[in-house]
Amino acid sequence: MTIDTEARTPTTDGTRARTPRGIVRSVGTHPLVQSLVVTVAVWWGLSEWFFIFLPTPLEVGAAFVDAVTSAEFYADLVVTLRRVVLAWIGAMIIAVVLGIAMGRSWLIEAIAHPWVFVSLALPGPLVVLFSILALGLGELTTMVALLIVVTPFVVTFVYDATRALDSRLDEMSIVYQMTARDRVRHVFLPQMAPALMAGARFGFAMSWKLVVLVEALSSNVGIGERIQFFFVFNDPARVIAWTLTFTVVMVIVEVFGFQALDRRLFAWRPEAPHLFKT
Amino acid sequence: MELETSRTRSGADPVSAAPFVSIESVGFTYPGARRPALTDTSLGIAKGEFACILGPSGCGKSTLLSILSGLAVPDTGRVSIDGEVLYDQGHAVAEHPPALGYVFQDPRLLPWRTVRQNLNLALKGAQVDRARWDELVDTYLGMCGLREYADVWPGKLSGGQRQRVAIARALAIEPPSVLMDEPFSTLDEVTARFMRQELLDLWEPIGQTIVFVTHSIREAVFLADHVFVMSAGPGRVLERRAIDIPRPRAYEDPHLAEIEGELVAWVLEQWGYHDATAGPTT
Amino acid sequence: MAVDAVVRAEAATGRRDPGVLGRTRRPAVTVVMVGIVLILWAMLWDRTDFLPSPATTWDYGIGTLTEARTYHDLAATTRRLVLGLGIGYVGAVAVTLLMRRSGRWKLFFAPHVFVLISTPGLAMSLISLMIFGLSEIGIYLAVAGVVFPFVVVSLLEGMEGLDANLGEMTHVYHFSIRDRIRHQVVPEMAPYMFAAFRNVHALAWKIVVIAELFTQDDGIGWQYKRAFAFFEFERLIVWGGYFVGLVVLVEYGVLRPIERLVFRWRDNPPG
Repeated sequence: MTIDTEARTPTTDGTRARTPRGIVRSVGTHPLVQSLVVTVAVWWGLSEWFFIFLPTPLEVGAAFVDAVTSAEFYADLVVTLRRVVLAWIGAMIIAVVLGIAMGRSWLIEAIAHPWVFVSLALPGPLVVLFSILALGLGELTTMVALLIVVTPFVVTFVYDATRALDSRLDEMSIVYQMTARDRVRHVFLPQMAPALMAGARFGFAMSWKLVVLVEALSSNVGIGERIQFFFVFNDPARVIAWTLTFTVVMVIVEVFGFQALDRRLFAWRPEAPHLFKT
Repeated sequence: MELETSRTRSGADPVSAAPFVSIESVGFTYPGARRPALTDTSLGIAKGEFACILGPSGCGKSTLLSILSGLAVPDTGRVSIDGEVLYDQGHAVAEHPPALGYVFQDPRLLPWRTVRQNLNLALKGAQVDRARWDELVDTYLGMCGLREYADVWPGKLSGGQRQRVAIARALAIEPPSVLMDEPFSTLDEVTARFMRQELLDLWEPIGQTIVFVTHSIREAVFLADHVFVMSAGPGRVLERRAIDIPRPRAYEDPHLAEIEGELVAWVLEQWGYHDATAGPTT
Repeated sequence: MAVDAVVRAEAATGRRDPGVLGRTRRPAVTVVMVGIVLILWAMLWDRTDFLPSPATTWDYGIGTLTEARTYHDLAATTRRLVLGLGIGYVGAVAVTLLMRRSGRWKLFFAPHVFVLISTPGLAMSLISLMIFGLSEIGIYLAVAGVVFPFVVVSLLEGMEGLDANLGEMTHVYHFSIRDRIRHQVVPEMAPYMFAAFRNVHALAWKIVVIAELFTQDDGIGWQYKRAFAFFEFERLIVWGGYFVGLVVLVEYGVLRPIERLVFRWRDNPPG
């Protein structure tokens, strides 16, 4: 999600001059800038006068710069990212196969449904702890726990999509005697694409957030582990700073990954209103 | 005007010559339905004829088209096109059913493929030689006045334009027969009028056999050589009317209105409405 | 935004009418499967070095029902959920209303929503509890912080489609403000508000447990920590069951009936 900066910014009031004053004014009255300024100001106020344990924006900023200029951070980032990507790909593959199978066979759906339902209700820590008890500490445990938690969510996306297929297009493709291959390629897959895309995005966001928990409990490297480490050693500035790096990675993946892909794949769609879009 | 054996444009008597499209004693019930959609329905359509099937909602006229197009297998009866038997007593007989053009009520274009790609896919299904695709697409889109939209996505077209693309698609595969299921019923009146005329203009030079389903009596009388009137469900063919007005026909022709009025009165009676002052059910 | 996966889970019970045969055969499959799982558990548990026997687990479970501590923990977790969810939800509604008033407010809060939604639940919990000194309030705000952005996004997306036509009608027929709110705005918004609530309900439970696990000495999360530290597998399984039981209880005992009430005027009422 990124912010739609084109709607309703106050640049239409004619004062959009190229003078320095004009620029400062149009920037200064921009809601995003105001938001940032107000937020930082409120934060500062709260940390100075109300909450002793809340680090000031400056402290957090310093910790953030510290992190992104250190080699350890990137080492941890790579570890975490690798786990997320692998688990996410695994989840997507399982979910697509299972979701489509569930769509086609009532038996598979009947068998899979309780498992999916229960897994959705299970709290992450329970899954992780049980995996540790069963498989010991190690990379495998981390990956398995991630998979178990994320996959059911993506399955629901895929399964819902198979239920929403348009039979009218199916009829048309039968009448015009399209080959099975063509029907999969031109009728089935494009209908599944939006749900697969949404599932992929959601699955990624979820894996990304979940890995912190999983690492905190079961690993000794990775960003999640570091965050927990800083918590135990009572360094709130670092906890917040390293958490913010998460947001940064999310933005990067969203904008340069998913939204770019979205635009290419779905260029044929008539415009739908978006909350946040580039 | 009473029932009379009709003559097609070519002058031959279609009932005695082997009909191009032949439906004999066909019955069909949708799985799980309480009443059959069609019972003992028979009709014969001559080659090159424009035939309209007229009936109220639920009379099974769409079911007839589903059967002809291969979407449904009749429980009883026999169906053949161009001498080739498609179904006989509940079995699909023909190995390679003939290519058909079909225009649905809604355009049913793949929204994620361009107009050209949509047509290409239909041409592929009809096993038309790939070398001819561009030429056919251009020709038929041109005939429908949409040549410049060939590489546009359907989402960018209006409803009427999309339906014209659907018609172009049906014609482009150059099938011996074209089936149409109330193709103009979702369009506004002005567009529909325009499309009816355009359809006749497209049909005249080529002369495919057209089976056109409608619930509008005026539309049927304007378009058809013969009108097959179906009973209210479960469906059978009540009668086959010839429309002997020479072409080209004018929508406002009083002669047409006369036939329509008379047909309306008869049909109201047949379909169970007894108010003599009710207007046309168009 | 893909917030509705949690709702989909609940909705993925297949609301098409499967007919009489379908209605019996699906639960039958479930029953058979549960049976198979239980049998496998009973047969294979001692082959592994972590699974407890069904018998001891059952005994332990029954034992917990008579311990006061059990109810204390359940109450603690529930209390934290209710307060955290409540704060987060109310805050989200308020902010959403503001955001709907103008694009400026929308842009103003957009970064907060975005940052919060990309923050992992654990991080939110740890940060919140560090700020508030490991106290209860820390948990409430952690849950609120996680829930808030999802509700905002959910409400905004849902309300995109609200009918301006009804607003015009109430204007033309001179509805009083009270009547407008009571008969137009609230019933219109109710389904979306409900759906948004549903979306985050299960998530909120999970966040509470996460926060408890890392920072508290009571609650379901604490029970997990204890079970893990002392290798008490029965405790882990039983308290896992308590958690799932609580969530399912609220879902079917509270949310479904309310859903039917809220949606009954729709064309296809659920259930």
